Amino acid sequence: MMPTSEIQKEFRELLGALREGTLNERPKARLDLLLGQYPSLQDEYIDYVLLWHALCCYQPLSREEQSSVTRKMVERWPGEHDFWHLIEENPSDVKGKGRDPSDVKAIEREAQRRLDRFLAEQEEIRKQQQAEPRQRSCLDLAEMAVHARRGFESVCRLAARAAVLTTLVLAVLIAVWYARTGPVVASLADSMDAKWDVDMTPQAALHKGEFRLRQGYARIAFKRGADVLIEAPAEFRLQSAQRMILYSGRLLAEVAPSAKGFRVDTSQASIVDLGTQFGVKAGPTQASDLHLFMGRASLTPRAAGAAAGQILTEGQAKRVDATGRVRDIQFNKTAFVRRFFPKSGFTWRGQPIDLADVGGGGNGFGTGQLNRWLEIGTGLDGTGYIVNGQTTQQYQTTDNRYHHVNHLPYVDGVFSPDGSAGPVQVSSRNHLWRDCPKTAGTYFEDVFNGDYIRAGGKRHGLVLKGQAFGTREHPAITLHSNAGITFDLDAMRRDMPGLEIIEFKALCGISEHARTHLDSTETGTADFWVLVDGNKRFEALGIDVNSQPQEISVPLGGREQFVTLVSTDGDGRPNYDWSFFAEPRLEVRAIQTKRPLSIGQ
Amino acid sequence: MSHSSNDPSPHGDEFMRLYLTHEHKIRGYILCLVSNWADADDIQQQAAVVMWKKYATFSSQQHFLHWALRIAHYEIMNYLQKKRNRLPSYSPSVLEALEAKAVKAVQEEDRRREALQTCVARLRPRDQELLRLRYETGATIQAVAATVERSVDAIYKALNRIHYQLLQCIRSRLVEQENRL
Repeated sequence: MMPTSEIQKEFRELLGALREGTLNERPKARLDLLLGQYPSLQDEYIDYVLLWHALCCYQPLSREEQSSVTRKMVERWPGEHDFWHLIEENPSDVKGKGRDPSDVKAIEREAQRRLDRFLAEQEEIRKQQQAEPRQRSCLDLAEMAVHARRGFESVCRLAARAAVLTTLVLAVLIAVWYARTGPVVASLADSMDAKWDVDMTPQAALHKGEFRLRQGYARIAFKRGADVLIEAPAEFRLQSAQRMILYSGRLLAEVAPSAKGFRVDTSQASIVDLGTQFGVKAGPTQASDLHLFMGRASLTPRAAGAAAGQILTEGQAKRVDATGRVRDIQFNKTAFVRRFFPKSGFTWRGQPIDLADVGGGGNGFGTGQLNRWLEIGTGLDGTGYIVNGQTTQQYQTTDNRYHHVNHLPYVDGVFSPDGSAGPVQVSSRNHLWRDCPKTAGTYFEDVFNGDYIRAGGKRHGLVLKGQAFGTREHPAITLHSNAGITFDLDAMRRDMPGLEIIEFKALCGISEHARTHLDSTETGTADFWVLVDGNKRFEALGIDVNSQPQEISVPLGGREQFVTLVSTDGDGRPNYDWSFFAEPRLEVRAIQTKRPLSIGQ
Repeated sequence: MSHSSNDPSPHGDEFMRLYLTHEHKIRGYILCLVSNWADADDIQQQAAVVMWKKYATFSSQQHFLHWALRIAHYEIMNYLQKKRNRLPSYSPSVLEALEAKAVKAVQEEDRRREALQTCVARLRPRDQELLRLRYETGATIQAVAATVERSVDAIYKALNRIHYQLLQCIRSRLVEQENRL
């Protein structure tokens, strides 16, 4: 049954009175009646009370505020201030120090002494109130009794509150002492741009306790062998050498075989490693997400009455909400930071190194510019042959020299190849391409990482099988024949020490838009090459506009210095060779960290 | 994690953390059933003592909030039983219905508070000021009326209107978030 608008209006009036404390017995009975008759009003009532509660009561205390409140509660008891100092020392002084057991006894004795004194004071107040003569008034006797009883109850409530608070304070103080001097369970192995709530030094030994990472990244090495990479903002607790609690934030755990059974708890779930690498995202009341990168892990909801735990395998991801419900979610390979590099200042989330981004001056992870030219003839930034708003593009004759690129961190150099004069230099360390074919000895366009190729004063898209390339989502490097570009793998490895480059992958072809531009006499045919330290590792010959895109996959073993991409004219003429490499990338994987089991100071 | 000892003090830090994390939800739940601040405070303190004493029996397989709300529930019932001659409370069927809804509602308390922040920000500055006077300063409705030089009745009606505006806004935001999840 739905309430009428009159009923609703009356209901809201009653809630207003409730809020202002003016709801007497009869209106309260009316409220009770309406709540009983109209279930929809029950929801409204709950929402209203919680709103009222949120507005007027609770200011969640930060840890500092809690500490401050606790201090005030102790400080209001007269006595030595060193009582507090005995407990609440500077955390950096406490960590790693032994605690004299006699201090514990001193704390307990002092706390008990203060409790006893407070309760005695309250008893004194109560006795005094009882001894005071009652004033007679016009109030009737029953009401006087009610007032007296309320007064007594009020004092008892005060004493009870004080007792509860004192007990809790005592428990906190003892627990703080206990937690601060607990065993070392892990160490801070590394960090980048990290800001903590407490002072933290590199390689600091970490005791059991709570931590808050406000900014940056940190890698924590547990004593039993688990490595956890935490991304700020995050709050967590180190529970033991094999267990932690993530209150909020994201972490990636890599668990060595010796640490199998490593456990991460959130508000919603418990995750136990079964030999794996996994990522966890959590919030205090939001759902918890688990992504399994490698191996297996068990996931158990924590809510009472929730479903039983389940095992996840590589490539699976699940979400657990506050009620314990578990559902599948999309596995996201790049959802977690998996490595960070303090020297170079960037992070890796599992994505490949994008060579188009590198060509734009980036680190391969999206920091480069799009639509950037590299002049083949000089190795400098080009203008795309646009001078004073006019195009000056025309065929250039190759000087057959290798031009070192100094201003882009991972681009070694560029060149225009012609094998008619012998082997062609393809790196700054004089790697030679001995089988470079003869070409027309000219080139038309500089190396470009944007989404078009120009011809006839117009821009034409880079398209293969209907898919456009040259964007952030689908990057590309245009190498109109005859052109080549070399990438420096050693430089990348230096800046990303935890990553291993394992493969070069790409598509290559001639843009389909060339079809509309070609006349019947033109063919537009190009050859594509991938060289590693000057050695041919891939070739696709005689590719024209009608050819299928060629898939390139070149495995790399970890010692190669350079990868070179080249396009040459397949028919002795570079005309309409709108050739490009689509999504050129270096696949990488994390090098597993190896370290001894015990972490010592 | 089960505790083998009856003495909860070695786990005091853990209990405090859990309790403080959920304290506002526990109080919200109690308030939904007794609708009186002073009584809610009393019940919460008694419930806290019971939780503290019984923490040794709390298993990590349980959810702390659910466990705490059950204890709070019993304390509410005890309290109402003791005070029934003095304190008018809701009828048993209403209490039962409210109890189930309150348990569910307080679990999304943090989302409600986030939604509240957004919804307060959307209020007109004058309405925000009224809320601030009433709640942040703790002033009575009479004092607020005196401060803004309006009648008590006008302030009372304005606060009613603002509360309902916030209520509708919060409900919309919660529904939006549900649909997004």
